[in-house]
Amino acid sequence: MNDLSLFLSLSLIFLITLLTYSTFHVSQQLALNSSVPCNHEPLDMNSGRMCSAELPCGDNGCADVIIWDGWTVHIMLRRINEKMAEFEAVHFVSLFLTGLLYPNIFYFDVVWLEQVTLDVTTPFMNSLTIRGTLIVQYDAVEELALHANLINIKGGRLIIGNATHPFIGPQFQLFLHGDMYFHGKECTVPVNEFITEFGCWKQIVVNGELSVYGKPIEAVTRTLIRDAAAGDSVLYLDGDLTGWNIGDEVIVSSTESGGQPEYFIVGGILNGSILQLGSSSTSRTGLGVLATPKIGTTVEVEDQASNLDRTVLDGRATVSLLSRNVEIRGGYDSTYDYISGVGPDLSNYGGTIRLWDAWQEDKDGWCVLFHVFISDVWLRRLRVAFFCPTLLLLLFSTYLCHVSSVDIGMTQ
Amino acid sequence: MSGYALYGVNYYPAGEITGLSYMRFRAMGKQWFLEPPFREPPLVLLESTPTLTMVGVVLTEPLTGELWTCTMISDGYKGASSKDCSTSATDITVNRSIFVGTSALFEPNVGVTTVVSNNLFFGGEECSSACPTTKMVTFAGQGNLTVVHNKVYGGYGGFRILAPCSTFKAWEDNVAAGNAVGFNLEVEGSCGSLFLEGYRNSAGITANTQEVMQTLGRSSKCI
Repeated sequence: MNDLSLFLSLSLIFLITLLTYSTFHVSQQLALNSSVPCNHEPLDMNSGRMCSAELPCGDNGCADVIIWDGWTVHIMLRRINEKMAEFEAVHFVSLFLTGLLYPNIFYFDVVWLEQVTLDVTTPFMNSLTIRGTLIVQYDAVEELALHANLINIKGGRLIIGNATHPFIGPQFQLFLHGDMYFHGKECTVPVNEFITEFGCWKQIVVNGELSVYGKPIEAVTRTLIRDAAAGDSVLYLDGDLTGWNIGDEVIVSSTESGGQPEYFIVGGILNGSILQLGSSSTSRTGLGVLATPKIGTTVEVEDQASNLDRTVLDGRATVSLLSRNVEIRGGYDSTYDYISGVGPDLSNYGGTIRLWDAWQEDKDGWCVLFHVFISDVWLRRLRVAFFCPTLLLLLFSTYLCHVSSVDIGMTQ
Repeated sequence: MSGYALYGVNYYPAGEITGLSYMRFRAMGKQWFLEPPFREPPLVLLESTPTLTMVGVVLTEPLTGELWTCTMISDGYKGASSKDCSTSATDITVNRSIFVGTSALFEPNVGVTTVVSNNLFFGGEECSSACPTTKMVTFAGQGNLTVVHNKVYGGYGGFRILAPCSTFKAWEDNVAAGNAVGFNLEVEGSCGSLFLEGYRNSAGITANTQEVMQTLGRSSKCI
């Protein structure tokens, strides 16, 4: 009985020690992050402009304090729960927990984080690790965005709409920014031991599920039904343009040999199928007029000598809608990223979605006691939770107490 | 995704993209000026990826010029595939999508199905220099290819055909327009009986086959 009481007492002490350590571990990470100074000129998260004494950025300034690997979804949740004062100055997400708290930080083998709904724009994170499920609110009423260097789907799921519930909000953008000190440098080594196992590469790593379903569009591509001359700003198309909106981007194919496509912003839609061109990013003038003529008619040919039956030659230009309400970007845009401060001419601009093979890793805080054969798995290590040294000390102490007790009994 | 933690070991499943639908990639891929493995395409798939479906996808402002072709990653990535990230074992469906400055390789193995329908591929100046848009859309392999209603504009090479005729389960209304070479039947075994429809290509067809049947060209300088 005494042995049992002693064992339970020691176990209680051990658990208290464990929880204390875990909390300290989290706090330490947070403290490290919060103490990181701005090591480059701070930028306003919203406008991208430089912050200065004359034009301070207020709450959004110095957003680069979040460029550390400890910033994972776990930390984010922890921060929300504890309302850490040091982060009150930073705008942050209102992630809603619908499941249990994450277990990993406490080293218990219990339920993983079940589900988090992302319903606002996040600040700039270095890494976002998804062990549970992160769902972008599919019917959001405002524009949402996720900013990070690395998104690591580690056994979890990132759902940006699915087949039954596509994202129908106005816009969701996932940015892989990069940090000017790591991702903006020459990066020819996939793994940089000084940073993370991912090196200075920014990417979406998938060891789980990635689902991206934007709002379906009825008509993606239409074809001209009238020839269009250079300088025209109206295109007559072969069907209605449901889902196309003023301000959307379209691409118009060339019908010339070696010709380049032209980009326009939709300026208006008349009678459902007549496209009024707005401004152009490819025009020298920027005006919404065609730079080159486009074919909009077909020709029928027939040649009995070569056994060519009546055939329609259809070399008409096409007009396609490029705008989507879900975007994944390898940088802020194709020329410049306001976080990393670099553009595509420097290395490692851009992003990658990389699927990984299945793999396994030891869980923190577990230790191998011995190996054991299990029928369905030829060899599996039997492990116990909690910290090995503490556990071994506990077992050893219990053993010593037991031996002492026996010795005392014998003496008596 | 609970259940992958067992006996103190985390078991992470292979990555899976359950769908890419009506979304847009921008500025994806990286390091086009370096040789593999430092250069990466927007999508690095696994050889064992069972299916990939892309519907209504847009890819613009490319930085690599390849959609998913990549080379062997020997080390450096925990859990990364040790094999070439080929898509030949993946049932691929690409429908109603628009790719700008990006080439795509379709090469299904025997028993694997690839469906490419109603897509537009733009070459030209959209990609940064050195992007491999020289061969825009390649069909190879020995599996099942369904290729209908696709258009390739402004590439150096439009459709590149390496697959034999038995591979094509359907081929209809695939147009090459404004390319330097509309259709390139690159190897001797390339299918030469597909209906090839080209407009204003510098060269409508270049072929390494014994025979080419059913072609239709307009304003192409030579066939």
